[in-house]
Amino acid sequence: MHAIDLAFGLILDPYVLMVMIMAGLFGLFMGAIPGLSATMATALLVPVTFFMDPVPALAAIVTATAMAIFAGDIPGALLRIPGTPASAAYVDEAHAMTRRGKAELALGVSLSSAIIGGLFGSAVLASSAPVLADIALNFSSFEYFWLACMGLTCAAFVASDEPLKGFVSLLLGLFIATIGIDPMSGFPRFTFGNVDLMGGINFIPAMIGMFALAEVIRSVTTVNPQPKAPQERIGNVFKGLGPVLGRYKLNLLRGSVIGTLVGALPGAGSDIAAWISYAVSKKFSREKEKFGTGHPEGIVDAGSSNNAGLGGAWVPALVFGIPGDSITAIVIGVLYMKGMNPGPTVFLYHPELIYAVFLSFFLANLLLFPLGLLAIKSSKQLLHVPRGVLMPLILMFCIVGTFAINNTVFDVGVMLVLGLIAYMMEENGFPVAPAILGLVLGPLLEDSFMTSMIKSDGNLLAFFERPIAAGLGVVTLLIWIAPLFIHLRRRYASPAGDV
Amino acid sequence: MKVNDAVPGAILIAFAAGVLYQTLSFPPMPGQDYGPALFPQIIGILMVISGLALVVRGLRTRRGSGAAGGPTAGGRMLEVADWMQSPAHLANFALLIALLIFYILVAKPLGFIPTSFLVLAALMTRLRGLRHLGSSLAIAAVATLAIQQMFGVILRVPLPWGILPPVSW
Repeated sequence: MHAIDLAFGLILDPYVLMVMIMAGLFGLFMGAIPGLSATMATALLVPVTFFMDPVPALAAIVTATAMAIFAGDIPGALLRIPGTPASAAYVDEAHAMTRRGKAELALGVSLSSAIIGGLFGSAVLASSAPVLADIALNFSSFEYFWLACMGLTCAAFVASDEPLKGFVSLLLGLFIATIGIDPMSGFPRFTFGNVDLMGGINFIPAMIGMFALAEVIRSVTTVNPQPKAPQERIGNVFKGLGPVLGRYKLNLLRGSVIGTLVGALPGAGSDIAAWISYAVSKKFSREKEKFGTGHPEGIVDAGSSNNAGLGGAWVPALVFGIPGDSITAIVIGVLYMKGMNPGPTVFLYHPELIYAVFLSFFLANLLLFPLGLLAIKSSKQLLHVPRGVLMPLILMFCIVGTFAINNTVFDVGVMLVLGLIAYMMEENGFPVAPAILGLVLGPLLEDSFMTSMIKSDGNLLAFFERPIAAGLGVVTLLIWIAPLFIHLRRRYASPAGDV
Repeated sequence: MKVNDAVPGAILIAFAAGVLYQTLSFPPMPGQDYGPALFPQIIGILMVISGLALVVRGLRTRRGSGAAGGPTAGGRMLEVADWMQSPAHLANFALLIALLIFYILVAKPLGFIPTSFLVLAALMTRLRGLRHLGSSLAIAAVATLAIQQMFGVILRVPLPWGILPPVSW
């Protein structure tokens, strides 16, 4: 219990609380503005957290993402444009409510289901992570190899419409991770004698380029004009909220459970959790015909689901070092920078830090109440910020944030190149998140693979000799074979043979 | 700019070939069968396979229907995005990239404050038009000083001073 006392002390520090409130306001702003996502908020926050202690750094990320995922609902309801991809599943529903004059209720339902879902995800994280960490303590390089494989596979296959393109993106990330001095042999790979490349491609410039700069490029080249800010005033969001929540309390629970599970699945984050929950809600609803006409039921499910997914995604990230989504991929990079190598040992050596992270999850979701209300009240001003001012400022943040890590403009060049590549990739349907996951997990994958190969003298069967490794390996292989199987079945189903 | 899947496929194969060629010169680890070349080689081979799959798929859609749409250029080899036909948006894009390169080249000799001001003012003026010149310049100046204060003073990032004397306030 000593560690929990320490954790309370760490989190209830006035400095940490101030950081959380600032990060919360930043997250609300980023989430509420269409085109700026929770992932981008995290990417831009990392250079600032670089200079903080682990607890305020992680608490800032936790708070900013929780706020951003909720704030994405605000333009969704008012403008029919999702503020972040996690709100995309139910923008039509929320906007239909606004058209029927129930904007307050839509936002109230969004906010309260976000808080409940977020608290549920936090509770699951806090209760399951230490248990899983106990099991993970027995893992060897074989288990870690399969875990990394499984995480990366899910990222490439589950999280994108086109598995092949997701896989290519992943390979690109894995390749970038091999640049620099090989830790095993000390040999510099793909550096072409360049000193800056010896240390490898730092993940912060890579991530800022791929998540933030690519978005700035997209924004300045977009032909669509900025949407008009809504004119109506937002009244009392609590009016009529109680009966709705009471009626759909089972939906709250179902959305939270689905969100946490999907979030914990490597590669699938809040956005996919929201889509699945919305679909489940519609399928099992007694009033299916009302969906799409401004019916709050689906918003309850999906709104709690996407915030619950945030907590769920941290479970594999903290326990195994396998990110659940692109936000936790960034978090894992931050953990390595802070010397808190994610994995079960962090629960042994720094339990107070882990408990402090759990506490920051609960606190962030409670903070969502006052700050979320504030964001709803000021939504008119938030949505009024002109893109022509915002984008140059974000660009300068990208530059300075990148420079701040190693104090070199070489990193700014890395950001520029990777930002351009990411922009071109997304234009052509290649998802970017697998590349970041590959970049972050590449060293773990290579290290566990090489260690296992050397231990077993190149005998690939050794990868299946330990029971847990065998189980993980079989599941991973099944995920690899599944698309082929589906492809063949479809082929036999359609006589023309064109798929 | 959307291209037929065959194009990224071909680029990927060429890139992987370069990677594989490079790994040939990696030294083996003494006393071990597996050296620093193994892992990049596996990635390179997987890249070639996925590149081939992309090329096959791209050529198949090209031979099939000519219908465009979806995330790829479909039937055509190259589909120019809407913004590329608009000189205004092309200029936005070119200026953004040029300003980043400008920053990389001159931030050190010129210093952070003048460079950041120029970058912000130029991009804001371009995006908002000359009508808002006054406010753009003002925002650029305030934002530059705010970023300098936040990163340079509070977070102690050694932002270059360049031509300005290194004053601290």
